[in-house]
Amino acid sequence: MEQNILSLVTAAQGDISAADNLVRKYLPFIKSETTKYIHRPPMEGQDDELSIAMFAFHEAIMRYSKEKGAFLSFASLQIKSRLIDYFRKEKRHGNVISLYQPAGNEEDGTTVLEKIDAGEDNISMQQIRRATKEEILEFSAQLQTFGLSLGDIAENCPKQERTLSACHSALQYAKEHPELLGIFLETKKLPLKQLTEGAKAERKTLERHRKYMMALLLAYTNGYEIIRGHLCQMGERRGKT
Amino acid sequence: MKYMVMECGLSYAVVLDEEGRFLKVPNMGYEVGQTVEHIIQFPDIEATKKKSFLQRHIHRLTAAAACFCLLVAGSQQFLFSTYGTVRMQINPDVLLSVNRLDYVTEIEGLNADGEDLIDAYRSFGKKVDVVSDELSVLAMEKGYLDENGQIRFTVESEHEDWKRATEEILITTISVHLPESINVQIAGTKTEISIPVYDETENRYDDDWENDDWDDDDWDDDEWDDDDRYDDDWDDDDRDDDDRDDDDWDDDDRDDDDWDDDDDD
Repeated sequence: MEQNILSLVTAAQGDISAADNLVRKYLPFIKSETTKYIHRPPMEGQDDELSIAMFAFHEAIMRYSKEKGAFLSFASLQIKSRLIDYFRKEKRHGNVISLYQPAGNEEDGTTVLEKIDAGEDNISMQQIRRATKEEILEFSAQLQTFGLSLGDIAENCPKQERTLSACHSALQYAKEHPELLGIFLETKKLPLKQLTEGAKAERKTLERHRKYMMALLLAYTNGYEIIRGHLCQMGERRGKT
Repeated sequence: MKYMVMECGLSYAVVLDEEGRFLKVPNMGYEVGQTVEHIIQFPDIEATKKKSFLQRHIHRLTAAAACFCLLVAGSQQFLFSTYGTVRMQINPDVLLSVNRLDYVTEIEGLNADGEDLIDAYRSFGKKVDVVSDELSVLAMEKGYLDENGQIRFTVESEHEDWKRATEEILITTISVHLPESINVQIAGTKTEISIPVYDETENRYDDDWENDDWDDDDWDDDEWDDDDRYDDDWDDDDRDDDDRDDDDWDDDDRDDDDWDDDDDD
């Protein structure tokens, strides 16, 4: 059985969808682990702890290697670690309630968010959300033509501020020179040489975060106004650096 | 900070924040296209583990290093700052810088002979009396100081107590160790010491006392019993005064027996 799990985990490590499928497969195990900490069976869609535990199992799949022992033992430790991190965070924000928790009368299933929104015009909000979703789906599809997925980009995103700033400087240079965006769309490759020379950025930095850079450049080609509009803080931060 | 939900899975979601970061976070019931203001974000476990000991404990190490630097700086101030100076003048002129614990921190030749005297001499870790003594002996060996020569010490310091104590130490030390008649002067005091001459050829000390024949090995052959310590023939002594009695007293002519024959007329 262990061998079977190992092969499944190994296969899922390069595929975010396969990893999610494995989470679904081992949901009873995840629920069982969560019960140890909340002392009752968790409810899907309601208990944040279950969402945390599922995410921890997902991380365990991505990080597992044979040296770490049996996979389920490793996953159990990951779940415990993340639940503790979550409880500590929630303790610091003890006065915060979830907008998605029941608003008092549990019979109609109304959440706090819905109760707050009652009386407001939800149509425009829903339209905006629908449009945003369509743009994002289009964006995601375009990324796939470049051999990229949003999960890959999240993994490749710079963690350090300094590195993030360097990448954004290169993006700014590309925005000021639209011909580079044209080259990028045409070749489906990052114009590293031009960006390195023009933005005075380290080639190694841009190479290391190639996938992230490509996603950013794609967002600044035509058709992604909502996403660009969301990135309103990027220009401000660059001003600070 | 607002986060645009870009992708949702069963266990995860990818969100884009306003500063251009793509983040993988737990899916807390999100939908693609939704904009949320609160996400659950965890520290990267693997990145933390990959950090070296130095990186993980950089803050503690920095604080410890800062404390250590302060300690070193403080002790440096204590140990290496000059508390006073001792100037030794023979013909070589040498200046010793001394810390408050009486250790010599620096020596300087104030003339050419002084520089020659201290050349290759190490004063590190030595107290002022030791250095003064050793330099005095060195001066003799190099011919700068001979019998009937003179050494003048000048102690300077803002701290009067230390100055007096150092002068006393020098007086005591130099007067004991110099083997010849050297005139030692402590400037600023009325002290002038002349060391008595010790002829090195004279066997001042019985260096080979261990070889001395201190044992009276033939003590039992001594003629002690023949000594006239005791009057052995005491019983033969003429202890009695035999003439004590006038034994012939009765023969003494005490009476004038022929008195009647005396010529009276």
